[in-house]
Amino acid sequence: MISFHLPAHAIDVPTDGDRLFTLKVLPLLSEKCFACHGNDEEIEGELNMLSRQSLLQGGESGEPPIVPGRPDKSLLISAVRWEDLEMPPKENDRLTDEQIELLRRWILADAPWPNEEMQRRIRTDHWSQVETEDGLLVKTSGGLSDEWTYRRYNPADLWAYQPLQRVELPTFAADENPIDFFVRRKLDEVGLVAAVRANSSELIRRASFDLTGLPPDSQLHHAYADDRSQAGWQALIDRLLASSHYGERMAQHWLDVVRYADTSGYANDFERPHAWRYRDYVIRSFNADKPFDRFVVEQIAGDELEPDNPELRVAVGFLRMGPWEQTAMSVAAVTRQLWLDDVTNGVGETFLGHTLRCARCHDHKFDPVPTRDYYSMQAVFAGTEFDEPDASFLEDEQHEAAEARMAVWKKQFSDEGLRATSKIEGDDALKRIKKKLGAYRKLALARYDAKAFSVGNRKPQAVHILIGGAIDNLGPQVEPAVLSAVPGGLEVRLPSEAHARRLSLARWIASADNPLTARVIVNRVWQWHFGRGLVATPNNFGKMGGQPSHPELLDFLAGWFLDNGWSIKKLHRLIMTSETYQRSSRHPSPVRLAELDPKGLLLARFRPRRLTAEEIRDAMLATSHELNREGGGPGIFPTINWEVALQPRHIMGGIAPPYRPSLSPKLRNRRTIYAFRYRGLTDPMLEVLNRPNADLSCERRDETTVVTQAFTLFNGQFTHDRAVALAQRVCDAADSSEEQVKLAFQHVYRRHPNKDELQACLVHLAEIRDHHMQGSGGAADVPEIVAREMITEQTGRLFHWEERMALDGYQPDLRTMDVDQDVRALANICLVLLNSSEYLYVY
Amino acid sequence: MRRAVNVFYRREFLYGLGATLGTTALNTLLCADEPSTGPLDPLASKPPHHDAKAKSCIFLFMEGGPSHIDTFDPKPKLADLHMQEFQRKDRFASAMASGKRYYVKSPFQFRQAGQSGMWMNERFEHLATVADELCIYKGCVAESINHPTACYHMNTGSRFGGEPGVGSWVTYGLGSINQDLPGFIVLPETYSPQGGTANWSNGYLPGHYQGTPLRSSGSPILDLLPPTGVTRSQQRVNLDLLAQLERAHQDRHPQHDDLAARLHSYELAFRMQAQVPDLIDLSHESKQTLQDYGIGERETDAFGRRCLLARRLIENGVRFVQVFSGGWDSHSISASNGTGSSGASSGQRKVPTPTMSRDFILRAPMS
Repeated sequence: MISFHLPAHAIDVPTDGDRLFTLKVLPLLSEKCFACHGNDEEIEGELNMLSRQSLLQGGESGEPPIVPGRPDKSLLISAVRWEDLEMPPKENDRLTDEQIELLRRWILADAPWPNEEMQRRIRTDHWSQVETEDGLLVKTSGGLSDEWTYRRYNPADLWAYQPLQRVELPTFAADENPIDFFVRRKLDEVGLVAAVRANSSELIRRASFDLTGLPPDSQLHHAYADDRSQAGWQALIDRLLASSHYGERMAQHWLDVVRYADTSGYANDFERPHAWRYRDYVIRSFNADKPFDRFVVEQIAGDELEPDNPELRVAVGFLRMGPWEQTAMSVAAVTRQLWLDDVTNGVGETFLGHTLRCARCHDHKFDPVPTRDYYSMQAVFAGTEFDEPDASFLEDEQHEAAEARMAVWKKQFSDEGLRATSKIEGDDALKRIKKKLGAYRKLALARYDAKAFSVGNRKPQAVHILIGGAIDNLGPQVEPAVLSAVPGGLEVRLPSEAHARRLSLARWIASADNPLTARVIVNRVWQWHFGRGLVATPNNFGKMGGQPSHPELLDFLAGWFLDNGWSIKKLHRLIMTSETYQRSSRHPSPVRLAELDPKGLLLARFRPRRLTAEEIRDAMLATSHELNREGGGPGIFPTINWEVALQPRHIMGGIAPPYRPSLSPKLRNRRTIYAFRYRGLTDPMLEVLNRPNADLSCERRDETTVVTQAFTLFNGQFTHDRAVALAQRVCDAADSSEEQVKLAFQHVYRRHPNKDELQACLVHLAEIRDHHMQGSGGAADVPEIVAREMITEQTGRLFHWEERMALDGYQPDLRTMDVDQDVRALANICLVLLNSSEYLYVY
Repeated sequence: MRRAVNVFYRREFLYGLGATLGTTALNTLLCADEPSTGPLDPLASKPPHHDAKAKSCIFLFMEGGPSHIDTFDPKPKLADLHMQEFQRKDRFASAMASGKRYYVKSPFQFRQAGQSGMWMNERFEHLATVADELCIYKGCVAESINHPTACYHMNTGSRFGGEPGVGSWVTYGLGSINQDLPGFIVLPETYSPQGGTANWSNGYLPGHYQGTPLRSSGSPILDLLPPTGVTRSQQRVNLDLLAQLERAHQDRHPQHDDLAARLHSYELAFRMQAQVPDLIDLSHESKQTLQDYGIGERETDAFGRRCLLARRLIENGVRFVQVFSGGWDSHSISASNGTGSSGASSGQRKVPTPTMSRDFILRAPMS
């Protein structure tokens, strides 16, 4: 018998020092040092750090970087501490105290450097342990490197991947709203009391804006103002949920997330003439309380689900909501890839609370999302192609005024409206401009076509991991799959047939077993009521997003939502009937509140919120009784600041047609959600009031207070017009100044003025009448012609032309000059009231 | 409990009339004892991570982009290859850039300018006089050859639009010096550049950091003035009534931080109505200055005005000013108009930029 005597170190059990080196020190050296002190031909300071031997020798200075066992004598330690040498030399790369301590401990342990075989064993052993002091392993489809695949996560950062925790409510809490149970428990923990219930007027207003985006009308107000009962409150909620304005309000939230617009953006900002049908589909879906799982499936794969259902052809328009362009200067393959990237990220952030964009170029830096998952999910869309199929109109898709509106557009986009006013020798610039106008005309006149802005399927292209996100750097090919870190995700098999890929992805997303989907949507709905989600970053549930403030409540709500048929309306009811929702915005002990809950996360009081841009416009129109509450149909064109309407908007080879408001107040003064949404031109009033752009998904509206808002609201034509209309209405119904002021307060605030307010308004009214009313207030003339000039690419010379506005028959809103002195005086009060915080905030 | 100090730390955007770095610091001190019920002034001036000589930035954006080979990056080899044909086949080249192509030399002569010997188009006569004050970076490449997406890429770092513009980032990082003016001001042509206002978007940063355009014709800030027929005294009376109602409302909602800031923004707006027209009024500038900036000459007037205004804004403590100049899209006409850019810009390029550069060299100790 022959016995082998292996070298002693090969069978050695690794020491702690070996492990420390392999698992911690080597990766650190590799990250921070080897770039300059490694294999490269140009080694800094002639110091190679790739072996223990060379570290004992040192570089050109002759001093060895490490003295085993003696960190205090080791140059390496003083260098990383920046005591003599400053290494690594860049401030950004400096080692943390913890990292320095690792090096110190390693040197103290005699600076062992096990051979590669032992390193491999140490690593393999380490990788087999799911949980260590360094955190948790997450099993995924695997990263581009072992380092990524086997990296450790702080368990707290992985909350979103855990299955929903079903929390049993204690029996004593059975008759209270479960939300209050969770919220109260947190408040009790820190010893905070909650604010009392808000008063009726506040609650009615809060509920009305939350559910419809409109102020309570007088009927609604009076029906519930004196009813403090819970039954009354529930009836109010049900009434609002049944309003057709409910869907409009919810759709606004949804369209923020999906980036809805009626144009494509970029170089031509071409119109998407059928996009409005998607907007109306979303409104209908909310109004019908479509189960959310169904809503998900319809938007991702409606065409695969029911190929002949026109509404579902419209629903998948979701997949094309982002900005997009293909011009003669674009490369088709690149354009295609940009869309694939856009849709992959879009589905991730909309439904899964995952901004996947980061994983396009590399394994995700923070979340367990390997780049393989990104491209596997992208492969789901590899057979998806753009399509504008015929899709017959539903009964409630409006086109009553179609003929009349089409006639107006025909005129406005007519060649006849263009006239050259200068001439460039040998260049027919006008002809090119007309040609472009023709392209816009064609799109505008297709608005009432029974077609869908949609997608279909074709033979799927092969999808590869694109290394570094570069389209010409193909990595391994991937097949359709889902996010592998989500429980069960690794086992999910998606079919490779073209006609079932999206549907199967959609079903995985919309499954009760997917813990992300339900959490993401209940969190959004929570935010729609409280201004901030239980997770403050609704599009990002990963490490760089926020941790849930009430994790158990979030899981409870998600579970409850699943148990209740994914019904959003039921969720509203649950939330709004909680004490938590009905709290006053005034806390009994604000100092204590500020101390114990400085960020207001514990929901001890209701956080006031400013109305959003759309709510402000809609509310003012409602208050002045000018709002046309009709729903649906192609976008309408509200009056916007004329300077912006006429400002040249450059597009490829020309200037886009001017913005032309709809001709009648009835058409213009519809809800903002029905306003045609350009990507390249925003209504400046809405923009100033924090309406987001339509290029990035907006998970939460900003609520900044900026001086340009004061300009818009105090000086802008829109508010002045509303003030005049309101004043006229008030004066029609009340004769004396006192009665007028009282009525104005009723319309704006739904309350009486108190003595001081009444007095102040009467004094003000008298002063305005006696001292400040001069002449008649003017109104901007409706422009007839807009003059344009452009340097033509072909000649480098300036070309001038004119464009007719074709606003014949334009009916202005009620103007100052059309009303009498009393109305004009009162309009000043109305303007002030419409600018007041009591009106613009929800308490 | 009503806290009067609110007003010192909850003001946003253009608040704190008369604030200097000193009062901003005072505000910060006043807040230090406060429970953190509200964020600190998001536009307060913040110290940079490193000592820096520069406090402000003017970004001249010549939209359209004259070619590097016609401006600062001569490629003499192209003269040898001139009009030689080649085939370009690349899956990732656009229809416009594929197929039969020609090498084309620059129609311009180059020369070295200044002590540094910087290469530039020999027609850049005036720019050459400040060559040693320039630093030319030749490493930028746009991912897109379409204008709006390339503009987005240049201004926001992303070709897709919707992300914060460079001025937003700078203001976010360093705050604003003068709390009475926006930290980031944009001076566009009468029209917006391609891609529109998204070029100076705050993106996902808070709205305070969005660029505020000062429009070059019409109202410099939209709705700076009320509709015609509304007098200033009438506005004052209206504002007084608003203030009175607001204060009563604040008493009812003492825990609502935003209210003081809101009222403040109205008062500030009222003052700005008077101040902004003065700020942009260049009639007090000396004849020499106006001449140096090309103001009064047909081809340079508009751009010159914006450049001079940019200087004034920077001197008034604006952190970042971006001036847009259109018409630099040269295509096949770069030589025929004789300047390396299209007609309207040819004169522009001659004057204000070097003047501005000289101005800042002279004024540096003051700024």
